[in-house]
Amino acid sequence: MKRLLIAFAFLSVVASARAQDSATGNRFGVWFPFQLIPNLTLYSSSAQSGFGFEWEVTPLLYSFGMNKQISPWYSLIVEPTARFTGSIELNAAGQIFTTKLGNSYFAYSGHVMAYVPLIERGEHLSLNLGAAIYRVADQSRVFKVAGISTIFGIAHFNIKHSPNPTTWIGSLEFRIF
Amino acid sequence: MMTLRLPVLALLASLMLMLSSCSSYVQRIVVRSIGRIGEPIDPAPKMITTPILENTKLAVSWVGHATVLIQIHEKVFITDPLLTSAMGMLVKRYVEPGLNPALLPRVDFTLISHIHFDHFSYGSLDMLPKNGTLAIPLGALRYTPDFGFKDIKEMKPWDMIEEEGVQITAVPVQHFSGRYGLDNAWMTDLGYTGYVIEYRGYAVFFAGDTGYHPELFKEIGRRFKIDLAIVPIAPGSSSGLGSRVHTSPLGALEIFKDVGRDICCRCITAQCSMDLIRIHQNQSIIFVEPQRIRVFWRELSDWRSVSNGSCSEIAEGVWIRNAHEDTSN
Repeated sequence: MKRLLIAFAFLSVVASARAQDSATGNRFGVWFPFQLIPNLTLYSSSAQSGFGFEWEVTPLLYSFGMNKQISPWYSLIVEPTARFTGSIELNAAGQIFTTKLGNSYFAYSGHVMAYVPLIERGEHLSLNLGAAIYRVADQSRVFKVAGISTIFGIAHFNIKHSPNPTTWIGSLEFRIF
Repeated sequence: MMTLRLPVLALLASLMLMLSSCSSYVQRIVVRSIGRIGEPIDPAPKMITTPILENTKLAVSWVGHATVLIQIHEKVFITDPLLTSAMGMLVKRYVEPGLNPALLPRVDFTLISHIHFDHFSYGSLDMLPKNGTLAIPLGALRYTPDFGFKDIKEMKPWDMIEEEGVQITAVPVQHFSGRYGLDNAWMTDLGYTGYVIEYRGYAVFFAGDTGYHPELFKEIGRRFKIDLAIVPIAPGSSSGLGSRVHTSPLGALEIFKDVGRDICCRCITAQCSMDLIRIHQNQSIIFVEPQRIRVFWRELSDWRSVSNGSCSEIAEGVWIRNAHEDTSN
């Protein structure tokens, strides 16, 4: 997992250097508070179930749906158009999970996601496919991810599945840039 | 309990942030649109049956909303194409567009005035032929998918491109930009423009969306001899000359006077009835107030009675040609 985080950090620096010119301080200052809006998650396994909140960030995204006059590389601030018109994204997330019994767990995860536009270049609807690795209580779990994104790429509904023991995570994610 | 309190506070904070990012204008549009779910969309009063005319000098047809099909000699231009049944996913049209894009064999230039959903419609651009150039305002490139147009030109005010004798100049207007709410904050002076098209002696001004500014349009009038001005009458501004970003009917008339009143008089002498096209009314942006339209025509009537001119209201899907040409569709 540490290697994964180091790789994210490295790729983020590379992407920032290659990203477009308008990532100004003002832009970052406006963008940052909106990233505090948490995703809502529900999870269920044979052992327990509960809900959680998730905060995610995109160190690196490669867009293959945008015009060829701009760099396809994005980092941190990602125009929704770049994501939903077709892209591959690496993102990292932190979670707080709470069980029915009131116990809480902190977790972190890395995702590799692909977005495939379906309607209006993906602005109305796109398909999300990918994989995730979660690190919870010193254990790592790999999940398959499938879902959709809609409402201009802002709302994502994803289902994540991991076998042995079977675990499902459903998430409503808000991707505001 | 402490562990639960933190997520709940975070959720409340996030909801407040999301609500605050929506303007009352957007909220009104969304609420009215929800009320129209299930209602039919009216057919256009008339459809353009011949999208490219033969032996014309200057012709123009209003497709609906800010979409205008312009032909100068053999060159074809379309502005802010909105050909889908809804804009921005949520806002349903009232009237169908007056053009079937499948009938359009080519478009030489597609002009995008700004990146709002009702002016930069991805679905509509996908319906158009891609054999021409797409002109967009500075800052819009990061919102432009790979549609497959022959070329994309990102233009800031007073930039000019020339292709095959056609000159397109981006001209300053007064509006605002951003597409997804949050980006309004950093797209402050980016992402919107007007255009002047010049070809074989004709000049057409397309304002996109704009508020009235006492200097901007006079400057455009000084630099160009405008034959046709396409000026919006837009929502949300009910008095005076309009708001900062949209014109009232009177504001639109002032723009029209500023950019080319002398030219208009020349056209009026030639009984030209095509100088002013009002766009934005009776379409999917819903703030059409009939009394405002009446005010507009009364003012225009007073003005043209002074100058002994002739201006007419134009319906969708009707070709209006230069005064010296046959005006049949």
